[in-house]
Amino acid sequence: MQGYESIIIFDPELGEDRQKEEVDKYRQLITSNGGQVVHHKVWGRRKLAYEVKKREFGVYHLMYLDHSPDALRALENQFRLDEGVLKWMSVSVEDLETEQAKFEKLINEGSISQQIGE
Amino acid sequence: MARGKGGSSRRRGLGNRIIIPRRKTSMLNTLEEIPFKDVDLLKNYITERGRILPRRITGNTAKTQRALRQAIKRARNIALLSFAEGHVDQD
Repeated sequence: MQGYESIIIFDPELGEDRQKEEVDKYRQLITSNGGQVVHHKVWGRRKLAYEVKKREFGVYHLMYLDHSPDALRALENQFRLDEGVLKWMSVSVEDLETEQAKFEKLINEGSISQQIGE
Repeated sequence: MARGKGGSSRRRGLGNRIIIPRRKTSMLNTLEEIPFKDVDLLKNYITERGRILPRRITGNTAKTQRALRQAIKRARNIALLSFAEGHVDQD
């Protein structure tokens, strides 16, 4: 098992409910492959540094996962097929809890903003 | 001026002046890991055009510069930073 930090950018047109459905869908996929979602965070709507699939904004979600490399590949294949996912990136991490804490700290210190409007 | 030969002529121009080396420091050197999600922090180390600043300007150590490069590339990948500013896509 390996810890991963996956960032997923959803199309903002999806709306919160649809995003929640998507996340649940992926959560199920992960657990059925023997992994688990340790944390799930919504970073929020942000302006993208460049246009992705004709979108200027994206909703950033963070998932801290513990699963096998094969399962990650299966998950990323699903992202590839999903129209609502603009972009994603997975980074392997040593310890999921400390990574999660670091993100929280950045948010709390105000180094990174949680939500950026129009 | 030919490349690589600039050094000697420039030195001649300085005469016998003693050059005091400026101490280069970077706050990044104290960080154990550079968070790629901290866009405001990373922006200090790129040009307006979005290019990574060289070590001779930022004063980073080789180790931090490598970590910084990694962080910037990750941030670019996930659309937190742009690859090139002022570039217009041709449609």
